Order: sequence, then structure tokens, then C-alpha cells
Amino acid sequence: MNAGVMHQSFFNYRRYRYAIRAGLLGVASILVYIFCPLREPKSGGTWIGYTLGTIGALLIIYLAWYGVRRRTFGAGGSTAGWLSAHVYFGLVLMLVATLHSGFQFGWNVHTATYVLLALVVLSGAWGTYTYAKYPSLIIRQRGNISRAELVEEIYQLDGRAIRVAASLPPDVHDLLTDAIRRTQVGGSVWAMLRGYDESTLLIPSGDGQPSRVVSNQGQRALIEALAGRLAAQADSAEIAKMHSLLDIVARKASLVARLQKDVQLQSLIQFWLYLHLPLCFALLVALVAHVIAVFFYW
Amino acid sequence: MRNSILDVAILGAGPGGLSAAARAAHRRLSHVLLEASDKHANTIQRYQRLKHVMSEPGVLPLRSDIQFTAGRREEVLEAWEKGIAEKGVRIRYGSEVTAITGAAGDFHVKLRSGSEVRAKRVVLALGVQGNPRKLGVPGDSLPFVTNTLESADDHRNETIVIVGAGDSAIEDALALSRQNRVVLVNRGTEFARAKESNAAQIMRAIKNGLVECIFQGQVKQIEEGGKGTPPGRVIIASPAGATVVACHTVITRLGAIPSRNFVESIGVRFLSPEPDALPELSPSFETNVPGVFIIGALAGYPLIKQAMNQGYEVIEHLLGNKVQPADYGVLQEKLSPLRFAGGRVDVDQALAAIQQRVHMFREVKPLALRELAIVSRIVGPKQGTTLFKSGDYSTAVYNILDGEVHLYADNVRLMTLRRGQVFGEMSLISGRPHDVTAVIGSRCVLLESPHTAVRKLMRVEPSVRDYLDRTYILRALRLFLLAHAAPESVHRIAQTASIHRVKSGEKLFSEGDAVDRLYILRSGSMTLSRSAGDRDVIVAYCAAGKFVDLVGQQSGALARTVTATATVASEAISVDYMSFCELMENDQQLKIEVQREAKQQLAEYTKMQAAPEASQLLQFMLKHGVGEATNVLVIDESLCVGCDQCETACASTHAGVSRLDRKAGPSFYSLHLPTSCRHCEHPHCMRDCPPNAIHRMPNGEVFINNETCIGCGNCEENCPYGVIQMADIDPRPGFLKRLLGKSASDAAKTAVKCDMCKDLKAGPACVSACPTGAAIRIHAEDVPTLARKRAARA
Repeated sequence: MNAGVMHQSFFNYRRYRYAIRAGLLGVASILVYIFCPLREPKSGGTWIGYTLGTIGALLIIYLAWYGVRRRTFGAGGSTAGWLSAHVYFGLVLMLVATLHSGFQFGWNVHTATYVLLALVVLSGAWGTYTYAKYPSLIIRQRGNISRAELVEEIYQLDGRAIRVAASLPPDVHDLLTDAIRRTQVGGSVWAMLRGYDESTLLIPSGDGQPSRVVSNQGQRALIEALAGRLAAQADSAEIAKMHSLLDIVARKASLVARLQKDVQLQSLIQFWLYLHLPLCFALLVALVAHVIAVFFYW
Repeated sequence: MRNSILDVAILGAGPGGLSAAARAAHRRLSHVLLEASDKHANTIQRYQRLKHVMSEPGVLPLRSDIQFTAGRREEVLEAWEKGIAEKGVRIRYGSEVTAITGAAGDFHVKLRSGSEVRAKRVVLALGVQGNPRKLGVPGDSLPFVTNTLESADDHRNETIVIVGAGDSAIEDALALSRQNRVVLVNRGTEFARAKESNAAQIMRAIKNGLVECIFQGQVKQIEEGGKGTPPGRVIIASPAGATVVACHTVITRLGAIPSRNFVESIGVRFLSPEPDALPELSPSFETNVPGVFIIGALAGYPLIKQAMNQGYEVIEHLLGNKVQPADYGVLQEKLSPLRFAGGRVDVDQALAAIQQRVHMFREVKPLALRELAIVSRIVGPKQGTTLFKSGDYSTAVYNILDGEVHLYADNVRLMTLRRGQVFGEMSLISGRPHDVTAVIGSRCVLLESPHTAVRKLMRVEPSVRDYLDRTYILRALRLFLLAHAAPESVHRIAQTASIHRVKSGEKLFSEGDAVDRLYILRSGSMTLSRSAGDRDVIVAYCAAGKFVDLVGQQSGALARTVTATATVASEAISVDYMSFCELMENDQQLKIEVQREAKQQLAEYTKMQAAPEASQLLQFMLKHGVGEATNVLVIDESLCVGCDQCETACASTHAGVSRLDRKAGPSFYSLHLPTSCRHCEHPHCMRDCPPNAIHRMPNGEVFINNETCIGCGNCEENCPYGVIQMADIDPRPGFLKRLLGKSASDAAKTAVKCDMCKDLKAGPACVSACPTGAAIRIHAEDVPTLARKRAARA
């Protein structure tokens, strides 16, 4: 029961079957809208409006049903096929809903429903974009190793750095362990999405300045501090050790940057769903309100 | 030190030895049970805490004076402890036997301590685990020196010295290094014996300073430390001088001395030099040395119940009582269709009749045939039934006890087989689906035997292997080449046939070799490659049941244009090329078929040569075992968004335990092979399953029957792809029951793995649940096509 030898993505599932069907629906709606014999201004209340509205409502339920279908395991069929239908019919739904409204917007529950729908579709479109672009980007960006291996390598580098620093003066050692402790990857949702490096470093007091915490983005503050120490160093054995320490820190910085980018891309792939789903439920509620309002204020 | 001669000396206080000793006690035989360690049942003592011990095979009754029921390890050991006391078993611990001399009636059993025991008969119930090697230096028995590590968490902030360079030593070192200081003493300069991944990991740990290693180190002495210091001092000599390490624990991982060396030193013959060979035994378990008997795992019966039954039986045999083996009743049932004239069937007579009738069993020893019979079935299907269809997988081999069976290929009747002949053997050897359809003829009675049992028989009885090889050659020639040729021609060519066995990575022939043989691959798989400049490009992939490089024959060239390399252990049969060409000249139909096949192969070569990236992708997949797979889960990483729906779906449809690890596994060119069962042609897991709990469906799915699985973990160890895990999948009692105090039963962890959702109509859940279409399961034959299409896309 496999989909054949080639991977079928949800874009071209069964040779764009759902894209074609959704497209046909879209074209039909446009044609009906343009060539319809209406004597009144176009709005949701005309017979065309009601028809398009019903189609739209049914589409919304069908699309929301994807959430149920996705979690039903062992029932057969193809989730990729359902997603394909979901994406293409979701896009055409925007068109259908717009035509249904006859472009009559105002400050009311009907337009609120429309706006919510637009947000849902937009967040979905954003999600589709991330699904299309990011997986390849992620692999290319990470090189050919898994994320676990990347993290493991960073830990190994930290271990090596500590061992080298163990035989250096205590202030260097303290600086290093502090930097390791304060190296930050990810963090809050916002931090992850921005891919911003929020690592910090505690510079001890000296040179007439009190101790302060500075940004250690890209391990730069640490590298500067170590380089400064190195410049003031006289002992050749210690100089050699400091050089190797700097090499290790530089390598770690590049790996951490890769890891941060990886976390960012991964978060972006997941984040849109945290918008799409709550908006969808809000839409369902608004839809019910919209339909009731229409029928009660008939 | 008694000088009297005991009736029997029993070596090994495992289930077999205990049962024998208890029976001897019951029969008032003077006996002694000699155990090398200080506890009984060592193998089970070494099980994990609270591990569930099972009592398979369920169908076999227990006949012993010692109790045994399935249950927790602690309960089983306690029951045996009680049995020892109650039955008056004379057991001596710490009595390792170093030599046995003498003859039946007066054996001298010499112990390591120097003392000696004399007995008229000796029963060896030594098991197959062997005795762990000791260091052999002063202090190697101090209390802080041990050869096991129950749990790494038991040690924190300690200094631990580990002696050894194998997998156990490495795994202990890595586990303990997290919270302790570990000093590893390696006699050599590298870790050649260990698994590749372990060797790489330990070298990395040593490089990063997580583990200290003394290479070319030898422990000279172990002493107790002074007061206020760690309890131990270890003195280690190495090229750098002597090192003294103060430590808390010393763990020795020096391997075990297999019991075989000792057994052979007594004069007992084994059936072959292979490490898993069995000793030569009579039906009453006597070896070729009169008076010496072997029972239990060492005799080839690894299950507890079997060993205990044999302990009982061997003592009865010693006394001259002919007892029917415990499986007699079971065999009677099985063989009842062979009842000759009313009444109950006589098992020995029936087995003798089968042996006479069936060609394959002609030279087989009675004990081996009996073992095969107990797992076989006698079936009498109606005339006209289709037993199996071409394209079905099966796990059974059939011997015809009576009647006829017709074999068809492509709806043409290929041959009719009669009483005494075997069929289904081609599938056994190649692991591929059947090439023929078998239809039952008139008055047919068949003996159906599972593959695993027949393979075991082949290992133990060379005559069976030879018979099957000869049969295979004739039938393969008939099927693949000479369906229309006269039987004499087939026989003539078969005379020139030979069998080639190549290991993974070995070449069958190389580019430029003279073409003198025509090869058919009968099991495993090969790649055909050409050298292109400084690289080798794979131009074709050859699965079992296909000709290997037929092109060479047709082009008129006299040298091979490709190199054939095995991707997994493979077997090919070859016939003389000249004789074959002669045959072709006289058979127009054959000529056309061969030319057609050759044309197809040539087209494949050309396509692959034009796509070197496809060749690289194919090489990657074959390197990771796809060559022996029948169905492989492949994930397109450019579509995978990491939602883990595949794992969720798998767990939801399989008792909450996902059989798939999406993140694990190698990747290449954005194609990912996650850790998930490949349903191999020759499943490694099926190789050594004591209760025979792993089966294959006609569609090829390999699945584990969790009800008969005893949780021994052999399959998990044998699988080279790590797709099997031990998990508890028994349903927990419902909420109300739990409120009323019923706790989850001490269910054992059984082996679980992907079963290709054989019980779901829709097929693999992982594939249907993937929202982006990234996950697919493909047949191994389609891999080259996938490789080509992906390379074209990339």
C-alpha cells in the first residue's frame, strides 16, 4: 500500500488532482459571479450569495475535518492526500468567501468572520510556504549531521576547553566556565523565532569598572577578553595554551551559530500552527454566530 | 576426600543439572552436583532484577522433581533453592572441574582445588555461557573485584578500574565515566574485538579525557588500600612503567571460557568445528565417550523446560529404564494422521517410516528428525487446493509423504512431484518469495516444517544440506533457463554446476575476467560495477533469483565488463558457459528468452551509467543493508517537517510503543533511512529464536508473536539495524480494577518491532499518516529506480 516508488508530496499529490478540482471550483464561482443575472447589488443575501455561502460553510467544515482525520490512525487513506485537498481548497475558499460577500464589508459579525477566515487562510499559506522551503534549507544548513550530533559536538568542545583552561590562571578559567554556563540557544518563543543569540558573559570588575554582564553574541565578548589576556601574556607555554583555547572557542562559536539557525528554522516550521489552530476555532465560533445572525435577522 | 565411587557426578547447577540431581536423589543414587560458582543457576542469576522468566514451549509438559513455573527471576530461583533442600540434592559450590579422566564405571573428576571425585557416570549440564575468566593475579578475589556491573548508577564519584577491551568493558567504561573516574586497562594497543561504534566511541572518550586508558597494560597485583583511602590498590605494568591506581572497584571483563574446550578435552566429539556446533549424542544423551552424558543448552536445547525434562530422562536412562521422552505425547498427537490401523500411533515407528519415505531424511539421525517433527505439522489438503502462489512469501518447507503436487510457473506446469520429494526449498534458500505456484494433486499428505527448524537441521546434518543443494540446482536450472529443455539436458548441465558462497564485500568476478561460467544468484544480492576513471560506478543491482551479468554472454566478448560484488553474504550457482551455449544453439525458444533478458540488463546498465549520483545513492543504501531488505522505510528529508506523525501513528496502532525511530538512522542526499524493520530476506532475528516466535506472512511481513515470545533478547542482539526493542505491551488493568488494588501484572518485556501493520487493511500506518508524503515504504527491488529518480531531481 505504498504511494509508488516516487515520493508524492502533498503539493503534487496524484498529479495535482486537488489543485485542479479546487481550481475548477474557483473558476466556476468567478464565472457565476460575473455573469449572474441579479437585479440587486451583489451581497451575501442574494441567491448567489446564499449558494456561495453554503459552499463556503461546507468547505470550512471539510477543512476543519482534516484535524480529526489527521489523528485517526489505522483508518487508511492518505494523510498527504487530505492535506493536499486541505491546502488547495483552503485557498479557493478565500475566493469563494470574498465572492460570497459581494465585497460588502462593515463593522459587524459578518465581516469579523471574513477577517478571521482571512487570517486562518493567511496563516495556513504561511505554513505551506515553510513546509515547502524549510526542510531542504534545514538539511543544507546543518551540514550532514543530525541535531543531536551537533549538540554533542558542542558539549565535547566545552569539555576540551575546560581541560585546557584547567592549567591556565584561575581568572581565565572562571571566564570560560561562565561563558559556557551563559551560552544560550533558543530560549523564549520570541528568541527562537528571531534566532537571536542571547548568550551573555559576566566581566569581572577591573580597570576601574564594576563587574557587569555583557552580551556574548557569537562568543565575541569571550574571544575579546581572551585575546586581551593573551596580548598581556609573557609565558610562552601559557601563550600556546591560550591560542588553542581561542581555536576551540572559535569553533564552538560557529557550531552554536549553526545550532541557533537550526532552532530558528525548526521553530518557524512549527510556529504558524500555533496561530492557525486557535484562529480556526475562533472562526468556527464566528461562523456559527454569522449563520445564526443571518437566519434570525433574515 | 572420599574414595568411594559415586553412581553419578553432575556438572553444572542450572535447571538441567538440578533436575538430574533431584531425580538421582529420588532414585536413591549416590550423587554429587558440582557447581563452579557459589550460587545455583548462574545464567538466571545474571538476569536483570525482577526479569520475567518464561516457560516456553507451552505445548511441552514438565517432567521433573523440581518445580518450575513462569514467573519473576527471584521466585524461580527461590523455588529451585527450596527444591535443592527438600529433595536432598547433594550440591557442592565452588567446585570448578578442571579435568575428567578414566572410563565408564570409574571416572576421576578433578577439581580446581586439587581434590577429586570418583563416579561411575558423568552428566554434563554446563550450559553455553561458560565461566568468566579471572585475572589470575594475587588479589583477584578481593571483595571489590567483580566481573559484572548491575547498574552504573550504583557508583558515584568513585575511581573504577576496568580490565578488558571488548564490548562489555567499553560499555561499562562509557556508562561509568559520566559520574566516576574510569581507568581502562587494555592489554593491546587498540579495540579490535569490539563493535565499530563502540571502538569509535571509546577512542573519542579517551581523546577527550573522559576515560583514562592504559594501553599494553597488564594488572600485576591487587591489594587492599590502607585505612582512610579507597579500598583497593591496583598495580598495572605497561611500557611506560608501573602505575598504581587507588580505586573503589575493579571490574574484569575478560570474556568467558567456553565450555566446549573443556568438553572436548574429555574426548567428546562435536559435529563440526563451527562455534555453535552440537556434540554427537545418542537418543539417550550419551556422547561418543561411554558413560558421559550431555543435556540442556550444551546439547542444543536452550529452553529451561527442555533442560529439566532431560535431567529427569538422563537419570532414568542411566538406570536402564526406557522412558519415553516428555514430548512423546505431543508427538503422538502430531503424527496421528499417520495412524496405520486404528489405535494410537507408535511414535518411533512413525518417525522411522517418515525417515524411510522422505529422501531428505535418509541419513538424518533419529534425534534430529524428532526435533524437526515436534515443530512440524502433517497436513492433508484437498486435491486442487493452491498451497501457495508464485510471489507469496512463506516460512515452510514441505516434504511429500504421499500423493502428488504440481508446480506451475506462469501457468505452465513445470513439474509434478511425488512421494519422498521436497518443495518450497528454493524459498528457504533464497529468502525470496516463491517462484512457482504449488497445486495439490491426488491423495496428498505433506509434512510441513518451518524454515528455522529446517535451517537448524541443515547445520547439524550435512547430508540434508547436500540434498537440498542438489535439488535446488536442478530446479533452478529448470525454472530459470530450461523450462522446455529435455530432462537429460538439464541433468547434463547440472553436472557442471557448482555453488559459490561469498561474504559481504567479496567479489564473485571482476571486470576483465574471462567468461567461463554462467551465474545465477540464489540468495543475497550483488552490485555490478564498472570502473570509470578513479571511481567505481554501480551499473546494476542483482537480487536473488536473477542471472548475474547475462550481458557478458551475449556481446560475444570474452571478458567481463563488470565486477560483481556481494552486498550481503550471498550464494550463487554457476554452470559451464560452453555447455550452456551449445544448449542455446539447439533451443530456439531459450535463445530468444536469454537475448531478451540480456537486452533488459544492458539497458539498465546504460541508464545507471548516465546517472553517477544515482549510483552513489544506491551505494549508500546498499551499505546500510537495503540489499537484504524486502521492504524499507525511506524518508525524503526535503519533505519531512519533523512532525513525528509517523511515530505517533505507529504507537497508536501498536499498544502505545512506537516501532520506529524517525530521528535515528543514516542520511544521504536528503534521503533518510530511519530505524525501522526492513523485513530482511533472511531475517537475522529469526535465526536464533528459541520458542520460534518470529514468523513471516505470505506478503513478506516478518512479525513477532508476542504471546510466545519469552523475552530472551536474542533477536534484539542479532539485528544489525537495531530495529527491535524490549517493551512491556501487555494491557494494564482498567481504571476501576486499579482502584480496587489490582496492580499491573509483572508482565515481561517482550520483543517488539515493526510488523508492517499486517493487521491493518490500509497498510503501514507510518506511510498513511505522513502529512507531507515524506515517508514511503518501498520494495528493495525498486531502490535503483528511486535512486535514479531522486538523482535526476536533485
